[in-house]
Amino acid sequence: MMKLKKLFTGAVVATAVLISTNSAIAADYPPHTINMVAPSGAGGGWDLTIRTVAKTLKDTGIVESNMPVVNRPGGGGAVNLAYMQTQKGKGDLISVYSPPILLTNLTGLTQYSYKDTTPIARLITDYAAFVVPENSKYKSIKQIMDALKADPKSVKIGGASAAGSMDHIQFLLVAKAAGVENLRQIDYISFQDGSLIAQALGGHVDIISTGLGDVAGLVESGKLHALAQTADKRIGTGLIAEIPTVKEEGIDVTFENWRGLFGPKDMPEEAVNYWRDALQKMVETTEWKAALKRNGWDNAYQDNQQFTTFLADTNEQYKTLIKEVFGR
Amino acid sequence: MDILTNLMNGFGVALQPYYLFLILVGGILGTVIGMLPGLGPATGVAILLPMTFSMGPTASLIIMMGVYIGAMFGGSRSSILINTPGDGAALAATFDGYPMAMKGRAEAALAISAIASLIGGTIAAVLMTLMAEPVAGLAIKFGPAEYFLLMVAALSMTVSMSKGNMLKGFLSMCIGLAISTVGIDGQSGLQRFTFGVLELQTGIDFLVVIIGIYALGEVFKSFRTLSEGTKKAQTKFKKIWISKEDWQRSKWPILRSAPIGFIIGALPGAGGTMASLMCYNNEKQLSKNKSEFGHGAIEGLAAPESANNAASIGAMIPMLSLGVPGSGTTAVMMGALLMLGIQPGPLLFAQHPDTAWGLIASMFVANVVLAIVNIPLAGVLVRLLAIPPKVLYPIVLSLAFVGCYAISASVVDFYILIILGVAGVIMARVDIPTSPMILAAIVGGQMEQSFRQGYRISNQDLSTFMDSSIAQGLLVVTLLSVLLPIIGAIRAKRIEKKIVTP
Amino acid sequence: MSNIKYNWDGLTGLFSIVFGLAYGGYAYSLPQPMFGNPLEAIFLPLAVSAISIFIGVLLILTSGFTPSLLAIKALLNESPQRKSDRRKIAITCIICVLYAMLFEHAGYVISTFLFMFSMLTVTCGKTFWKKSALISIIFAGGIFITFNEMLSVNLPPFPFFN
Repeated sequence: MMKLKKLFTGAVVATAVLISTNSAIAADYPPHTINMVAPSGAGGGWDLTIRTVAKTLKDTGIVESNMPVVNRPGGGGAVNLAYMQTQKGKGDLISVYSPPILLTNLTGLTQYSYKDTTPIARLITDYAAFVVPENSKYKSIKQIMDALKADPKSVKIGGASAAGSMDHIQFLLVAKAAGVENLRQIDYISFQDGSLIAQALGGHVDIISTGLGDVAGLVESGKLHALAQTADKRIGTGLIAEIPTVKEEGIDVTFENWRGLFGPKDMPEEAVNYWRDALQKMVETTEWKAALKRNGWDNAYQDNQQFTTFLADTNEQYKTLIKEVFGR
Repeated sequence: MDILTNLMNGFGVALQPYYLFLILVGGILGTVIGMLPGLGPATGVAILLPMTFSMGPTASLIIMMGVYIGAMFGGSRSSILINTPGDGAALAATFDGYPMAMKGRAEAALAISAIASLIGGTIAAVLMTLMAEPVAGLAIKFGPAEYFLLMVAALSMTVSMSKGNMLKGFLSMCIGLAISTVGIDGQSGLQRFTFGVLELQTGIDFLVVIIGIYALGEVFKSFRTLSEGTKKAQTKFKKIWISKEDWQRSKWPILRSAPIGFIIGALPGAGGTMASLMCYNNEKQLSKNKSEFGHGAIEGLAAPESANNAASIGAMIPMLSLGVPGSGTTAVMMGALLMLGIQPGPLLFAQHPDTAWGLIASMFVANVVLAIVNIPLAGVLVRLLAIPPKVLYPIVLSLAFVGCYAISASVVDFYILIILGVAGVIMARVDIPTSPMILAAIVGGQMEQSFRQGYRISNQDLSTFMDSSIAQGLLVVTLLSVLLPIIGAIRAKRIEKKIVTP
Repeated sequence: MSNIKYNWDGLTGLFSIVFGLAYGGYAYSLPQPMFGNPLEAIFLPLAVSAISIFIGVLLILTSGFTPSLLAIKALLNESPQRKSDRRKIAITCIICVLYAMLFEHAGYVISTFLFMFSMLTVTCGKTFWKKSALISIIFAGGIFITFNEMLSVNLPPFPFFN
């Protein structure tokens, strides 16, 4: 059945190419609707990224298909990764991912890795931010680390992803670099129903580990206080630029929360090429640049080949780190 | 008085013909989306998103408001007419709405649902205008412990109120809890009860449970009425309105349910489903004619309808005053605002007063417009009952499947739907109530996660669940909801005994 | 009140125990999670399992199996009409399962047409096949257009013509 279908599409494409070389692929791809998938609930970092991409592509007319944004949350992204396995070889699904696509696999949450997708492009990078309520007794990340050194149960860390995924790991990486021992004993609490920031505002957790872009607005309004971020330099403007890096606080580590686009495994070549060209065009537009500035994102564009190499390197790097921290 | 001037300015925005038109278009679209099973307000707003990019913030927010409130009005239409809730919040409308339609009172059911929605929505909009700040403050006081107790309160109400044998009610609840544990567990990352099926990692959506039990179960049960020929299509239709007596019976339930719905809606993550179910149980407990509930009591439809519209407006509070989305729909709205360059939150009212107050005024306007649109619309929809049952039931079945696919885009859920439909028939046959199971499937996941969050935060100290005054209040409510029916039952038995053995 | 000779409580209790054992057993055999206290992740499932078993025991103790046996007898001796109703439910289930199997391969319109047509044949009989076919095609096409074009919810399209 599959073979027949492939043969059939192959024949159609071949004939079309013979008739008119250039418009053939355009006629076949893009389809009428391309699902843009955020593997999280609406409102988070992935969600914002994919929506911004869809909006920019539509506004600038680079892609004319319908691009509805679909939220497929759960398991720190593992659920959508599993779903993508059922869509192998299809070209009408683009999903956004970030380090969790590597982490969930390395920590054994899912059997699927980035190798079970088609990397399309790396777009931006955000950084981790560690945020406390405005009246918290903790004034610096150092104080948090000192408290943890004295008693790993004394500080409760909240995050939006499942245990063992990014919000958890990024905090542990910083804690490890700060010399905290017994990393496994630190209590991490997952709030996957979208209530994480409300929990921080209400002071129900001591500190939340999240993306800088996710809390920028609340930090600027002064309702939340960011203790540190994980870039290697100060970024942004206003109150955001006043957030120290963890390096400045004497903890020698950085964590990049890159975000990139992925298609299902064995995505048709025409689709991959189409998206490479479209995204290459997109990152040069003024609309995209304005969006980067607005959200406090750093441009980190890489095309599909560079991105695949980058993923292989980073995967190795994380693998060593996780083995050190969790012994897996 | 500041509020009043601001609100008047807001009305100045919302009542402009262009915006009125947007509310109308959005409202009708929302009603249609709300009626289709599986598609709720979140989907509606998300569908609208790409269209609103070119509209400017005020216009896009206002049309989204129209869709949002329209979907809340529309959700209960299919609950009443074909026993298939359009979304979770309309679940409670099936309890008495469908029996009303079966008794030939569909017109009154549709009318009271629109009226209750209008009043509930308007009261909530007034509360929102006056008390957004304090309610937002209350909402963030809810930590894991309070959420856990809220879920327990909701669950215990339904189990203790379930008709028939309480033991079987608990069994039903256990099955529902088991359903809610399927999927990847957030606190540990463990895959539970997925049996290696990829699609089950997402868990079983409670809407699939609802559609399975209600829509499929109803069709299966209908074979009996079909073969007996007892159920005929309705051929004569009355005007869509209610009698004076109906109004007398429903006015207090409507007024009571609105503030409760509003506050539950304002809690991030609680939402309209919880609000309407709690108000339904609340009314059942207060009512003098308890036995009529579930068999077409009009107040049993009015209360949840009022509560769910109030909740949908309450859900706007965390977004507007804290910058935190309180529900799936407001999360999508917030995403839209961010993309339009507006940061919702404490600074919104200072930075964009036109947009903020225009939005609040449009809540009032949208409620009124939709009530006006819905009455004649109901006159058309009620003709659905003129379709002979033997043709209608295959259509209901088909709609159930397509709604299921719209929720998860996965065929695996079809099999779950079929299994649940059969389970619904068997449970009815052996007298196991289904509502505890459905409620447990809805609140079970969050109840467990909240418990473990609180347990972990407090270093395994259970007293965290009794520390705050909110927690203590919720505990009292839970205890009362379990004890009162038991005491009532014991008393009734005593009286019965006295009568039997004089 | 006392003229109910049979009920299903005994069998329900048996089911409750079997369900509790199966569910709890499966929960107990789940692999160790990587983080947190391993008991936390299976606490609720074990509690649910214990409650189910407890309820099952209570149900059996209070009613015994005799009423259930009577109930089965009553079921077997039901009128032929009831039996034909049950057969129709079984047929409907089979049609639904076939529909689920066909759905993604044949696309929405074709599978739904076949589904509706067979369901209408079950409820209305074969004599109205022309009407049934007409209703089925209008419904399947109408829903497909509404969802795909107006609501941007992707239903599986026609095979080969994507």
